[in-house]
Amino acid sequence: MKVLLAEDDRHIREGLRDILVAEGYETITACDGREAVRLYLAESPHFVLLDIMMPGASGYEVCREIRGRDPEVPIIFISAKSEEIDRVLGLEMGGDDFIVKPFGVKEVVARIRAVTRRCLRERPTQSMPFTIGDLEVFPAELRARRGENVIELSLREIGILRLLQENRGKVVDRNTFFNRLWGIEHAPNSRTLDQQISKLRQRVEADPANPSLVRTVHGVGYRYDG
Amino acid sequence: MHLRLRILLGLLVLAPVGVLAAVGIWVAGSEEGRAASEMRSLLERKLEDLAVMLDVVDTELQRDLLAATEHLPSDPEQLRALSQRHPRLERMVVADRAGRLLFPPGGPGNDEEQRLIRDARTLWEPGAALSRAGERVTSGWEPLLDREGLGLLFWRRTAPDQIVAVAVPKVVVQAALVARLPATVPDRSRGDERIALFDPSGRMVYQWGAYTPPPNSKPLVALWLRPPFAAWRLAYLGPEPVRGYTALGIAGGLLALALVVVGAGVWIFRESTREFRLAAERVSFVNQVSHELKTPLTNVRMYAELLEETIEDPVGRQRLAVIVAESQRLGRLITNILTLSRLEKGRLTVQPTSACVDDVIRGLLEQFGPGFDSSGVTARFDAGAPGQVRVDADVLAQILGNLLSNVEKYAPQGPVVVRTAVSLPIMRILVEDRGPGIPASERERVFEPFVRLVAPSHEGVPGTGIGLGIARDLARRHGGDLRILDSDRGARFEVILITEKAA
Repeated sequence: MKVLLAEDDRHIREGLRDILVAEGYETITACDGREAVRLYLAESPHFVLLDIMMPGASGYEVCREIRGRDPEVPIIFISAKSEEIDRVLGLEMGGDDFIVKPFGVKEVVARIRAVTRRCLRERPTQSMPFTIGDLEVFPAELRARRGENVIELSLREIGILRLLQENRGKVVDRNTFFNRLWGIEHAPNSRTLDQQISKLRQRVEADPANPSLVRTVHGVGYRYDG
Repeated sequence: MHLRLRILLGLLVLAPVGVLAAVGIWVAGSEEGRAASEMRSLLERKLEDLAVMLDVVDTELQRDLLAATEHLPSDPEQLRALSQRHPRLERMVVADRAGRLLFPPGGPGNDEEQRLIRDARTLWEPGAALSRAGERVTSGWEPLLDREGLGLLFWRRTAPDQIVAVAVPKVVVQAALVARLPATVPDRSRGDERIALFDPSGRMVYQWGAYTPPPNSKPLVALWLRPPFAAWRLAYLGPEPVRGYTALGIAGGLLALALVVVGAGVWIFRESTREFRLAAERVSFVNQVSHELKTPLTNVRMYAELLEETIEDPVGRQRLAVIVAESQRLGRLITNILTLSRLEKGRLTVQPTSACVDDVIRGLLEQFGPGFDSSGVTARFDAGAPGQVRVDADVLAQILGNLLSNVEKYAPQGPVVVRTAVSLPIMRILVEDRGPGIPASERERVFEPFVRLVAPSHEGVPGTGIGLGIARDLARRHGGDLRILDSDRGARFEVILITEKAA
């Protein structure tokens, strides 16, 4: 899933990009309003995160420009301006949500996932529920369920589970993970993948110390035995 | 400056000046009228005094004539001799009661005598002067029109059946009156004025005083003399009192007053707007700074949180947790400052959306986790509001954030219990700690901005004293309230929100 992030502060932009990438989004970034419009036209992202105070063209102007072409694509405003009038204006201009600075990672993740659920519901082919072990995964909901226990998952985590489930009984090597889930350009190092898997196990394995869904195949990759 | 404010200030200045002007003109008008009336009565009194003084002329003339006619001879020749000898009796008629002429003998001679006799006859004709006067009146005056104008006819009963009438010509009357009036020589000590005597034909015959009236000027006051000189009149010719002087003075005074009031108004306005402007600039500055702080704070918090995910060393994670917790605290402080400013401007409104109150509280408690850990606070959450309701989650987080922040600061080393209970449309959230609590006497005061309770245990605890007031304001904006409940120990806050089930 492709996201356009427009933010003029470099550190916020890079931090948000890292969060988005870790969540499993293909992220393109713009550092001003004009570049945002240009990239939107060139890349057709699934949703857009827009800072309001940007050089070139403000977030409102970019929003107007995008809405002129696509009334549906979700737009989340990011702003230091938390005055009601800005919220109201932003939502009236066609924004779907507001993230107010200073924000925490969890808040950003929660709001992005909310928008992603909306997008996925509209693309049912890619978001059919599937089962991996005793875990029911609902991609459109970004959630999984084990009995009564509901587990929130990121797009990437669902991607990892789906990849393992599709290759049931086979080893999925690191390069396959990188190519399928990150894209060659944004391929992380092995350590990042291992950290991601470790986090995933903490959440989805009944016993993270003895994983049954995501097993390590030393030196190669990971495997789901079914 | 707003147009309405300008109009209001204009009215504030102009209205009293206008009222003063109206009152002033009215007072001036009535004052002038009163002054003119007083002046008039003063002049009338002056003329009256003169007229009274001229009464003596009547007495003198009568005395002379009574003396001259006291012992009239009965012989016509002797009467003629007397008439020729005595200047007052130059023109005299004597008749009996039946109207028979006793003198001049042989009937009227020349024209003058004829006229005199004719006029005198009116005395004893039926219904004429004598019969009107009655028997007891023995002398009197009647008007006499002779060649020179209106003179007087003196009559007297000299015997029971005899009447003598003597003509007193106008010139004699005039001379007698003038003799009693002040000299014509200008006398500055008598004031700047001019008084004149007019004869029965309306001609000015005598005048005195230092003032020279302009030609054709009309008398200010005139007074007819008393009988027998009732055809004569005195007139005051001036000078005319200066009119409009008082009104002019009042108008000038009011103009000066208006200028002073307008000046003062402008000065006060400029001073007050300067205060407003400075206050607005200060607020704007605080706002600006608070906004500017948000971007670096976002970076501090976001990168610390990102770092938490990659650092496994427990000491490193602990240190990062401090950065995260402190940046969250700073974030709450900035939010409170901006909220206070918005509340003061009346620009804060709640915007309920669909949210789960229990989830909001869980997230908040998770945020406070590291802070609570380091201050020894153990949190328990009794979740009782799992459903989606219409609530402004940011506002709810801010209210509870301020309460939990107080727990962290003022009730360390103890438990805090957060409890939710919902019975739509009422949502209750209880926050209860085991700290020093709030004395009953201070329960209202703690909601006032910048008020912090003084207690030894609070020493060195940072805070601005705006949190509770803001929390209560926000709860009220959400249709609810924030109350302090009775407690045996510690503080018990109850947040009430009015909400409804989310669609």
